[in-house]
Amino acid sequence: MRFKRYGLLFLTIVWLFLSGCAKPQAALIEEGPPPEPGPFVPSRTDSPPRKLPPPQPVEVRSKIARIFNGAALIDEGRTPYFTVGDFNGDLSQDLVVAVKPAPGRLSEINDQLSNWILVDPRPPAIPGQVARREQIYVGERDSLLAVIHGYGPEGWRHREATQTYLVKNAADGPMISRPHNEAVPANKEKLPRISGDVIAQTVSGQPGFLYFNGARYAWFDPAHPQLILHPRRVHQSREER
Amino acid sequence: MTKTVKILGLILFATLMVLVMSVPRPIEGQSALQRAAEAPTTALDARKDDLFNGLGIKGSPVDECVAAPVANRSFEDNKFIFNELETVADGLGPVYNDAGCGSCHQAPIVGGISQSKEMRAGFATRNGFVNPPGGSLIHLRAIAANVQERLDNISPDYFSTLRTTLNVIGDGFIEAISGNTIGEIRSDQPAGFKGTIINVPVVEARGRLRVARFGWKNQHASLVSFSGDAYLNEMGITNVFDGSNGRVENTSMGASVKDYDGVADPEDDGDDVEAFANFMRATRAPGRGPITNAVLRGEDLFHKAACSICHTPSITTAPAGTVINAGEFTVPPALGNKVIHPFSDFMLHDIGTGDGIVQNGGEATRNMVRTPPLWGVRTRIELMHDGLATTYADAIERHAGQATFSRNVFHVLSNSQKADLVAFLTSL
Repeated sequence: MRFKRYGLLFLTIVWLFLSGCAKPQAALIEEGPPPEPGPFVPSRTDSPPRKLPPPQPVEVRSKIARIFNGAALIDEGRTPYFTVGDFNGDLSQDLVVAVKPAPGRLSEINDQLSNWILVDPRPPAIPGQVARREQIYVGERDSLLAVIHGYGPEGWRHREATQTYLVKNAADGPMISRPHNEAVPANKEKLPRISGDVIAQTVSGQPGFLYFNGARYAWFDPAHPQLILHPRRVHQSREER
Repeated sequence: MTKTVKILGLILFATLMVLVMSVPRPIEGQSALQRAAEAPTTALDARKDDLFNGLGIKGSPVDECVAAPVANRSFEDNKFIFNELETVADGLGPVYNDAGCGSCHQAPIVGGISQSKEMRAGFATRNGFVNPPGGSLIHLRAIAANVQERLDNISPDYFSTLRTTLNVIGDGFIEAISGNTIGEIRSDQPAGFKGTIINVPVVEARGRLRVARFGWKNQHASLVSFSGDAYLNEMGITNVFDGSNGRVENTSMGASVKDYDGVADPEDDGDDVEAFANFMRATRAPGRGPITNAVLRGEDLFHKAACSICHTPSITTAPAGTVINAGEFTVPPALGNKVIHPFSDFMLHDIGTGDGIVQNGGEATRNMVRTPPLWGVRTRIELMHDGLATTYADAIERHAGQATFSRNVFHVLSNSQKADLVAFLTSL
């Protein structure tokens, strides 16, 4: 009787052990989330750019004051001293303004930690050299162009529109915003594939234009087209719109 | 009485044993049950021998290949294969970019970066992105002049771009991040910052999908798939993990290069590809530089400027034992439940610098790039996907689109604060 009772207990323990060991374990199998699209980016829209009112001098002054905080002044001696266009091809209106360094503020203009990207778009001195890596330095008497990229449908007027390229050696003579469709097809074979509008000017007696190559502003001289090995484009091309 | 106590004791003992045996093992998402450990790091210094993370055996450095492949290769064996230069006799090319993984992933230590860049090209049409003949990758080298790829012979409407070489040190930890974790990171991101998650085929899992995390366009989700792709597309070695089971050779702008290829396909049976993947899996995570007070202040600003929303500072890998890569790889203890500091969310974002090239993510992702992990960024001078920013400030200024807010916070910092932020980036 006693043996039976202990035998039964032993069997119960063995059964409990086995059932515990045999308990199915949760599988360690990775499950990923479904694909998730990103948010709507205000600077990217499939609808045509909104018709914006022409820029007023007071708005331009206010924008320049906000971007440069007095370190650069509008060069009102140039006519016109500002124009607009979609220079980086993101369907958001950009502003380009002729500026000059404010007296005594040159160090701020040249500061590597400033709120703008200094660009010298002149063709490199050595033929075939495609990249310029030397430090760009703005002098007291340099005429400059400030290109302020727009943000969203409001373009350069948007308060978040602060991305600024400060371009030297490209401000001379009248400055005209030329639509992509006019400027590019005429020079198609000599140009990199650019998608934005261009800023036409005459620099040192040579007509040409500034264009955005995806990372920088570059100068195009139709008489002496520079070999561009790696043209870049950032946004939609006009053909896609 | 004594008998009853004995019986009760036995029952109590049995119950306790059953309870112990019944405690479930941790499953994905329950990593809190085990305390995650910091992943080991390398100092990114070629003078030190600190790259191995403990996965498998380290072995001895190999000087030259004198024997057939051995079973259970060591880390040093795999590193040797990673650095090995392919020859025409191995199947190099006929069109290619470089002759070995270690040629592009070299500095400051094996698996790092280099100044080598990859060229991509394509067409933007009304109907979306169109590849040039042979695909968007334009190989910069060939084994014979006659098959060198050129852009002269395609429609002049093309556009092209360069992409910098990515660091692969610590990629094993990135592979070990659960897809759910990436999804959770996205859920925590504010609306305007949310990344795009794409699922891509895992070649070794017969094309089953997994959350992408490797490459500038998030082309891959596993290191075997990535290695197989690179072996074919960067070196021209067809292999069983290249997506076509090693049956399809690259072309020269769409033209066959068969006459220049004397090696039977697949040129690699997958052995080398697995060695590349296993080398990467066995590397430590890139370590930080000196942490000064300026670095700590800069790190605080990095968070305040919301940079850390996409450049995610810390991620915990899936627990050891988790089956990942669509069932083809089990996270080993050396990679599992580790806290890493990649400073990336591994998702695609539009920050205004995208190159317009469409790969795995479809048309909507053409101007997106993956948030590049900032770990090891102090080893680079050429920043951003195209390498065209040469200072940290320049790179920050180029951020637009989804990164506009962060760039504009940078604008309101004092120069001293900006210098702190740069000091922080220089410590990564």
